[in-house]
Amino acid sequence: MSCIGREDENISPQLYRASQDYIYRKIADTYVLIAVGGNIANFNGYVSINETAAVLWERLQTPSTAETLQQVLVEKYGIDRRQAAKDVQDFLDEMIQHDMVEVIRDG
Amino acid sequence: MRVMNIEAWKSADFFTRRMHDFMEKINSLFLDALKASLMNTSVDWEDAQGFRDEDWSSLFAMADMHNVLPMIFEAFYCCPAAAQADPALMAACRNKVRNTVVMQAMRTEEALRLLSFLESRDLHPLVVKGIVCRNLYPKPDLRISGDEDIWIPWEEYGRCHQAMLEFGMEPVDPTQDIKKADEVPYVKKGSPLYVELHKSLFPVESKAYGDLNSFFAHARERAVRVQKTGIADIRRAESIQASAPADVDTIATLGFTDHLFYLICHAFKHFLHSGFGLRQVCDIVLFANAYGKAIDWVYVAKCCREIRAEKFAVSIFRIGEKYLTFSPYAACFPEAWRTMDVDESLMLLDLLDAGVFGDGSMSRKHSSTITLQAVSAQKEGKKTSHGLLRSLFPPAKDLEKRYTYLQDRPWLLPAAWTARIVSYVKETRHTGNDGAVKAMEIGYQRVDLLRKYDIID
Repeated sequence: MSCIGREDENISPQLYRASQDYIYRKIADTYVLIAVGGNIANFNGYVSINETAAVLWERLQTPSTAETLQQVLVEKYGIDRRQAAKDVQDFLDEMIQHDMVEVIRDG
Repeated sequence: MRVMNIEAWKSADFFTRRMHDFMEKINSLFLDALKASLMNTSVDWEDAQGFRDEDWSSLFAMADMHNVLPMIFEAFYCCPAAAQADPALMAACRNKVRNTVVMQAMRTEEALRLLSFLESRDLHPLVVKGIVCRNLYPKPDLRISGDEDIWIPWEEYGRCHQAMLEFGMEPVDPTQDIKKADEVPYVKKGSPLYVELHKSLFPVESKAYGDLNSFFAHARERAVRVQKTGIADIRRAESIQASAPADVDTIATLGFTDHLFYLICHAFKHFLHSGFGLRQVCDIVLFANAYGKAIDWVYVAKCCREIRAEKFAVSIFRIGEKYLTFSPYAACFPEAWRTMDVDESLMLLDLLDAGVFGDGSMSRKHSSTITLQAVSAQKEGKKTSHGLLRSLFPPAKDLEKRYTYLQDRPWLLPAAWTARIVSYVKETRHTGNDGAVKAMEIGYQRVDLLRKYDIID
């Protein structure tokens, strides 16, 4: 538990939020993020995401911390917190890099 | 799908055979899956039912023809039979569905942004069909339509056009006389959005159905505002005048009674042309189920009688009840319509064959010349046979748009008739699809169908 506590301290307390320029849809058994608004012309339509990313995206409809997102994964999939932290960080890195998740700096 | 034989229709024995026939495997699977989709459930087809790759291909083709492939796919993709199907076939269908739904979601979002933009410019767009109908479906993006229809007052068109340009939209046809046209389509570069801006709900100059506009002369005064997503709260919608200041959460649309009648009229218009598809039936059924309590059915029935579409309308609801999810009770469906003696089976056959907006085949599309002339002749107090002759040899005025030389030299009409026939024969030969004879055959059969439903004498 102390290990988890140290990790938590290292996670930025920043708040993250899903970009309004993308909408999420489940189409049959696939999950996609669709570009809307000004992004349509700059983006190739949509990206497919896996179920875990879809869960995180839905949570990010309201501003959330990385810790909150980890907790969502731990509760939903029963994975250990270390794994959840890695999954969340990978997800956020990828999404932020593509402007699909916004960092709310004053969060 | 086979073309119907009107002579055989007249035979009672044929009906029995044909009823079994049209409920054949693919039709039956198609209707089952469509109903499941409207109920947000899945079908439980087993492989033991003997699915072959050809069955799946036919089902996909039929769903595609009716523009409901995403709805059908959603209903069957996880059933046991689908798991046993050719993976490549399913993967191709899945990809097509995903791409189609993505485009639809984009179109809807863009259309909502456009509506907000127009209202911010002090314009008064009313949404008809499209988004309002889509919101009635369990998964709205699965209800596909190629365009969004917006109705604006004639006097606002000039300003509306400027606002459309400002939003990045441009007329599809730069040569169109947009000031005179009662319908102007727009596209947006780099976006899938396609909007038809209507100055009137129906083409004013149409002899067959231009008069439908008179029923909506005061519809703007009865307009309501509904939420942008989900089924509208009737009380809330009716409490907000459409002319009230726009808010970001709602869109202006026709009142519930007007909208249902409009949906019927729109299907009727296409029925007079070359037919309408089951997607339009789904729209009407879901609309009646959701807003039936707010609909003045006596008024709708009266209007339908006036345009000779009462049996037509009742047949739609009968099909909805038998094969889809129409609930007469939930919709407060009037007793007189519930008990009316109408045979909906012919219309179902026509619907299954027609595809969305009667685009099932080139011959069917071309057959509209014959049906429209028959209806026009009826409205002008002439025999429908006069209309049929006229469909082959229309007056100069009807051909002026295509053969512009007739405007100055109407005596060249015989040349235009010849050019028209030659062009049509060439076109059908070039596309290899059906033929002129077949178009006439379908046209005459459908004129008989119009008689069956008391649309013409």
